[in-house]
Amino acid sequence: MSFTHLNVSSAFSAHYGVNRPEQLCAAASSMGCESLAITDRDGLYGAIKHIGACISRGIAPIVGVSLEVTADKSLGRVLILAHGNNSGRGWATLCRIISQAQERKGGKKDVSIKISDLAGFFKEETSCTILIGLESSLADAVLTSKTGARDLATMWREYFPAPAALAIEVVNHMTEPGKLGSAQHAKAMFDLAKTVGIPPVITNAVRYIEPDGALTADILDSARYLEPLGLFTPQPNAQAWLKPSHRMATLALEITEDTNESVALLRATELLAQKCSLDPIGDCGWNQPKTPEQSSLGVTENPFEVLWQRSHAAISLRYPGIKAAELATVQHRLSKELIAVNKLGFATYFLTVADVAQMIRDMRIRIAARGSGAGSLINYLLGISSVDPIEEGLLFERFLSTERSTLPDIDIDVESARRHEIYRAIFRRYGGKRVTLLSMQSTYRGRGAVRDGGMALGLDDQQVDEIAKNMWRFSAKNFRSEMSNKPELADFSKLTESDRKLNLLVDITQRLDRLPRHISMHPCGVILGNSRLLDLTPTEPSGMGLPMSQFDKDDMDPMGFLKLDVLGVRMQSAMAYTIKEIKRVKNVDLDLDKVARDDPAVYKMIRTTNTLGLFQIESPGQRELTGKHQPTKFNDLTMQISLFRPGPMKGNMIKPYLDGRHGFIQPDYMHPDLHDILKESYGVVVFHEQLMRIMQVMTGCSLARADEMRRQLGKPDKARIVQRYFKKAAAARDYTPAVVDRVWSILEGFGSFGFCKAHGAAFAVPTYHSAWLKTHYPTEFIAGLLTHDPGMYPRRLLLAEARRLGVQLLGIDVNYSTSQYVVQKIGKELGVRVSLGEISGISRPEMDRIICEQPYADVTDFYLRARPSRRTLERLALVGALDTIAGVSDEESIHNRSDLLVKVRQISSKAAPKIDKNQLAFDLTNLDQLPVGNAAPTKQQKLEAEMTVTGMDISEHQIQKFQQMLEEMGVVRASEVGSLRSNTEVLVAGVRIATQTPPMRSGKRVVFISLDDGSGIADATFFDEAQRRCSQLLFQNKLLLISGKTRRTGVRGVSILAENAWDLRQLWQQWEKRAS
Amino acid sequence: METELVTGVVLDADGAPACFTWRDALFLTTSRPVRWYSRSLWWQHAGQAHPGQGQNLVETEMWRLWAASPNDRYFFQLRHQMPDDSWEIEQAAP
Repeated sequence: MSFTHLNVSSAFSAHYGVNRPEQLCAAASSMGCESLAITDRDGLYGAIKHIGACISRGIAPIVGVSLEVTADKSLGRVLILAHGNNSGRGWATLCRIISQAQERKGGKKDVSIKISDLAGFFKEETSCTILIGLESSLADAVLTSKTGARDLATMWREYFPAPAALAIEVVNHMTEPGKLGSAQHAKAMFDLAKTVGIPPVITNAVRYIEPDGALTADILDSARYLEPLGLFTPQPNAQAWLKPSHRMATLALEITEDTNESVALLRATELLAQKCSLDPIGDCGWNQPKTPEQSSLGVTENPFEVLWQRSHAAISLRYPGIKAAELATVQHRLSKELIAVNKLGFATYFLTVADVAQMIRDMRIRIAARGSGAGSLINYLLGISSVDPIEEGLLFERFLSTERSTLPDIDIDVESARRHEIYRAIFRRYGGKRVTLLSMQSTYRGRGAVRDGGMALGLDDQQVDEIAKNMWRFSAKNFRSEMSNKPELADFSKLTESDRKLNLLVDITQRLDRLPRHISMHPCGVILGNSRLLDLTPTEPSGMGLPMSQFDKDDMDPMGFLKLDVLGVRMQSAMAYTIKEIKRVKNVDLDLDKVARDDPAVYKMIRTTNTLGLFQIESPGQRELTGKHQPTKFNDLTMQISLFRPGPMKGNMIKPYLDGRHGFIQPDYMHPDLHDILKESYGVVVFHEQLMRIMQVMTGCSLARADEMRRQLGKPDKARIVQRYFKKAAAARDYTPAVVDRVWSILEGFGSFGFCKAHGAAFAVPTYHSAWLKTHYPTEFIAGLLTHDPGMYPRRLLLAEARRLGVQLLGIDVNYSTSQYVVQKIGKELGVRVSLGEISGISRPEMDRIICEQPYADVTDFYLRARPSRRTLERLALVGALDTIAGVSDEESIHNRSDLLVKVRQISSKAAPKIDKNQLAFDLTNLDQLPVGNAAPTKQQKLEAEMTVTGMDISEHQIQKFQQMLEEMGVVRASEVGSLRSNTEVLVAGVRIATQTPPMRSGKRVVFISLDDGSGIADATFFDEAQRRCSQLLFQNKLLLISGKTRRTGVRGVSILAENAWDLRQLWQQWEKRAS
Repeated sequence: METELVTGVVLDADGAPACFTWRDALFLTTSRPVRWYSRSLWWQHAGQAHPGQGQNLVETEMWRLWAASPNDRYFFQLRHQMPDDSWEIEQAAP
């Protein structure tokens, strides 16, 4: 008889369990277990992974939860295990118990359930068993008072009279005799169980697979208690591991001290295990797609017929005036797609997504499809996607295949600022019983691990912070090996040699790698199910209040849930805002979807490489690629977005593509039949769609089959089968062995490198839209960018870009500024008014009051009506936001900003304005005269005030200050770097705006630094040797001077091969000293 | 206080001490030995915690037993220290 562990906490018991469900399952199966439970704390976070792992190992899954139960006082934690093979009734009860326990109590997060509420779930039927074990109050009572323990047990029995509802869990962790978890304690629990007639079972309350994991558990305990080790009672020893059957039998014997009784105890445990073994399909609906009932979509007829009619009816809208031949192509494609959808029974799914898309559009929110969904004509016709898949050469089969039965992903991008509004609307439309948000588990990475590890060891916060700051992009697991690789960790590495705790910290950090830390709302996922959804997933309140499933995105396919990715994209908000400003200021109604995608001015602007603010192509790497690539049409944008992805980059596709495009090499199409397929990429196989079509042309297989084979290319054993098929079928179609071998050699290596063209094409739409707005409405677009901040760069860089574009920036002014960046007319000119929100520390209510009470006559008026805090008032004065109302903005005025500041400090030294405004107004008018004779602040002082208060250089670029020194040193401006010859020695200086360390094919680290000096952006590359000279500067200093040699990379592309870098401020101090 | 060791420990099939030497006398275990595990505060002394080292850092095997020499009978609490496999006396009482 094999033993079944009924009490197992996985790593998804955050800060408690040590091993992931897959690991636990593998360990259990290798020691011959026939079933295994997962009983995480407070939820089913790891349950789906556990069931999946059990299925693949051929063992029976058992699922439960560890929950706190309360009566008048806490009854401690108990386990609740779902019974299986009862058509999901046990699973549903478990889900609903958890959801109820997770509900907020008095607005606070407190996961527990009242015993009376719990009993309610057992009234009609017993579909779960409660295990009262070590963490229950009963376990403590057994040690202190025999009668108290008996009373407690009797109370449980009275609440749960059904025989199968309760069990007492005896655990022998071999602690000090007589203590909790000792053999004697287990014996006392066992005896009590017999006395009160509750069946006993034996578990090992598992937290880790091997005893070694106990050390990790100590650290997790520290993170859970938020206390360093030593300041709380730690686990008693390292016995809570996944012990094999024979050890569990020994423990049982040690408890009962009787062979027959120990066998009975083990048998009772097995019986419960059998009762709780789940049937994944029957109990959890494993792999069974679930979509909203058609009634909830307002569809009464056959959903497929509705889909058929709607998509056909849309042809004339999407293809107005289409010619007969093209119409035939469209209809043929549509029929093919509809047949596949019908075969899979996914009509309701498409109708659901179309319904959501329409709902979002009706809310007047910008929407764009992303991902492989753009490959579907149905999606285009139903308005889910805005890319014509026929025109762009996208394939439906890449998106949906009749060979697979999982629901395809359709991802929708919407305005980020209105995302929550959409979620609420979806909940309203489909009802709370069919919708939940998706969750995600954040896991320990380098920095978090080192912080929690440091806390556990009681290390100084600042010291740990310093170490964490130097951990760049590597997983905690590799901490020790990275210490010898990374120059910025060299100091720390040296310290570990002599400092015991720091050395220990490295090992501890490694142990935490990838363990789940906490659950949070997934940034974009919504689960749409049928009315049984809440029987299938437990939920808990999310940050925004709406219920969130405890399952993550990887759990969706196994559970057959329809997940809709409604991703908030800041760029969509920025564009929506731009359009609103254009309407307000210029009274132009703009529909970006109707804008032609072949405007030469737009491509011309992109080709200058000033792509800041453009969707997807503003990163330093994309900017460099833009210089080399020089796009001229929409498909070029698709190409460029697709090529600059990890896959194609690792597959080394960019260079041959560019060489072919610029005519440096003759493209090699391998065979005339492949010419059309590979023409757009000059013979390089870039897209999944291209590979599928090559397969189709050369072997005669269907595209669906071709996509299946494409997926198999990544798996070596499967790839061999594909190879045999490909060679045989291609030979049968009269391709010569030389051609077949050549093509196969390309396809073989393609597996993980290619990119789905539909993704690229879907992304290219907002890229084009943003470029169009930047070309034709730069002022409004800059206002949109600044308001919604969609990009990767600091906001001050957008100000620099605005200056470069000649867009006038208007300083913060309490009479004109709002909480957003507004386009305003100054005389005839338009300008962008900086938002009040940039004042650091300003509160939302303060801002609302300022805006609401505008305009103001003078400073006193402002102070009385807007009632800013003293700090905010002073900060407003410092950046000149009060200049206009104080009448000091003008150079000829007898007063200046320093006089104003003196006055502001006088005002704010008085008590804050109270209700009696009249009295106060009287007091303040006495102060209404500005003092005179204070020295006016210099330009430089004004700039520094801006930097301190807003973090941005608004009135001029901060590099201005160093200009004289830079000129003396012969520093080149970023805008001029492009015109230098290759291999020229240069110095560039500026504000560091981006630091990237992308993964390299060689495995060596390369650091890319981008500097902004107001004229544009200069990119410098630091290889090994240069990094050794200055790596600490590269990650920490804002103002840098970099020396190096130019390296021409394309028509407009020049980057700097860096040799060294210096701190600009330090140089400045030295220079000033020498100058004076 | 110096920790005192027992030496020449002979184990039975369950890993329990069957006999050992203490203060030059040979002791034979006379009761059923009870094994339990206590924990140590590894963060106070450990300089590393590589995979595999966890168990020995976290816990120590302890034994409670009665043992007799030709002259005396004592109650012992023994600490089986790993990885050096030494046996410390935590308590010895007649």
